[in-house]
Amino acid sequence: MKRRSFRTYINPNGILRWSTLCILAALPGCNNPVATDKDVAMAENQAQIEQLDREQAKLLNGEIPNNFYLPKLGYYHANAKDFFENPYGMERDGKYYIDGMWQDAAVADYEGGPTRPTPEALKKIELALEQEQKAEQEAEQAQNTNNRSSYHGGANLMMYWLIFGNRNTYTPGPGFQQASTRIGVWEQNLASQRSAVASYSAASPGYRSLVAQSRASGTSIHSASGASVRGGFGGSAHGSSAS
Amino acid sequence: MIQLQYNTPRADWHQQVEEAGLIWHGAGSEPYWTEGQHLALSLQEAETLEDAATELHMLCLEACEQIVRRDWFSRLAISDSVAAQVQTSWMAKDFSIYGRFDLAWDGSGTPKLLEYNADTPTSLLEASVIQWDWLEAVAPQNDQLNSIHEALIERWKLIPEQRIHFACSWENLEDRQTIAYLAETAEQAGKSVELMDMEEIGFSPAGRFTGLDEIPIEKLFKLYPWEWMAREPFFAEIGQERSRFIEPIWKMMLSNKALLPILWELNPGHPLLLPATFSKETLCAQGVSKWVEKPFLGREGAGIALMDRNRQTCAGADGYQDNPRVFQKLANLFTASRMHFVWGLWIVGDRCHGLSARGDTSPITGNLSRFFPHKIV
Repeated sequence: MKRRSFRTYINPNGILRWSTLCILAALPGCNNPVATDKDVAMAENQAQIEQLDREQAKLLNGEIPNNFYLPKLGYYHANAKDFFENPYGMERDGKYYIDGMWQDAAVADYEGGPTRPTPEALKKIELALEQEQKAEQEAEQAQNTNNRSSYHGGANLMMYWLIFGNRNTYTPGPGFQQASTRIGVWEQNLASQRSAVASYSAASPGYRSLVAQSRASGTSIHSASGASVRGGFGGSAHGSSAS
Repeated sequence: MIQLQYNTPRADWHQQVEEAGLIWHGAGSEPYWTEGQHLALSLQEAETLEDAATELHMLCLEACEQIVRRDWFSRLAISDSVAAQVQTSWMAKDFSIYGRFDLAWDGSGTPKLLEYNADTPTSLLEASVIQWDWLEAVAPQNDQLNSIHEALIERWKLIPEQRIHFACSWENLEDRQTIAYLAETAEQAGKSVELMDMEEIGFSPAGRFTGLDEIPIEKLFKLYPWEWMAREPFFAEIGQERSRFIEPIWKMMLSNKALLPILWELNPGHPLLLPATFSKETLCAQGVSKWVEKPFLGREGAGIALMDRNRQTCAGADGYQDNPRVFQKLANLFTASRMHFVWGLWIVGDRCHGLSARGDTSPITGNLSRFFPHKIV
């Protein structure tokens, strides 16, 4: 038996201190924050803007990093130079999702750099670009007629545009031609999206907490109204479980 | 010689213990944390308790092995469906973090096992942190049997999973702070932690238990008894998820008072054990005239009765009337100033890493029994 070589350290910013403050102050918001649908939508916008900011330089070169996520297209597998529905290396039931196929053996993380998408992948991007523009137009029409709805896909459009703008030898269709006239509007949309996310985050501590948790865990924010059934444990508690 | 000694309370001790996380330092006018008195032991006495706990832990693990091998689950009133999970968990060596022995010892002879709180032990924060802070402030020249904090940190490091959920019955503040403290030690081991209510645990269509974010739970420390979980709807879904739970379900064999007669049966006359049986007649036949009746799954002294030749001399709070009972020879507790003391010995992994003490005017330790810090002189 020896005296401790260090003082028992409780992190002033750690989980115990946080729990203590919550209980002493009886703060209702100190329970686990539960994401609302608006939190989830805002977090998706924020993630897209941050991804765009982070990857803009690479995209401008027409190159896409491994596991880059594009809405409507999925995850880019740099080795296959195409988009697939699941992340590269995702594990399920002992199999690993690699280049669009479930494979038996575990593989090391992809170590190559960003790559240029194949013509087939570029075609998918152009299709997404067309669809996104259509959604943008519909949202604009709805806003003009009844002052409802607004389009929040500015970051998506910018990403499609940046990637597709460096298409090499692929010949673009009407989606690209139309997009080239809209780029100024998209930049304005993106600025307004950025401002909306910043305002929402500043006014919502719960949202900030969810974002922090999401970053720490490397997972996206999901609405509490998910697929899991809850309440199957905890029903026997009528006091302390102490022993 | 063990002594109950007085010391000058720290002027701001309420604030200090609260800031360190002990917000339940008193219940109404009754103190729980004892600031102005403590127990003083010699190094030899502390090591006697420490060695006893480590040896008892090994005896308990061997008892688990025998229960599984001989299929003695019915002796613990564990149903077949639950027993299958316990058996698998034991054979798979599902990971355990900690437990607390309660020992009786008046300083003479050998300590005696009263029970093993191996599934949901509380009073951890005060044993690990609060009494150490007290020692540093009040008796810095003395020592303490206490390396719980660093042992917990090292224990968490053995778990490969990076994200750990901690769940309890959320409305109970003591339980909440206990899991928060355990989560603190896991954080200090480099883990990412989440606190949640047991009721918030989800079960997904993919067959995984999930957190509120719908992400599958990798590891779940639950401060919630397995015998409660076993009668709840999600228990049927444990299946392949069993090994994600800490404490593991095999601890049901240890947190059950039926362990006491099994230990005695496997190790008759062992100096750290008291004679214990499943019937009082059998115990009386061994010449025992004073004994304690304990319900298999009792908590915090509820349902316990002290008997003197079939005459009840003391009883704990009501409860557990439906539980089967064990009968254990009455042990001599350390007593001072009309208080009776039970020693808590903290096992982390497979070794004893700490000592704590609870005292009460009643010989039955209950949920209002006071916590006394200790020092080694």
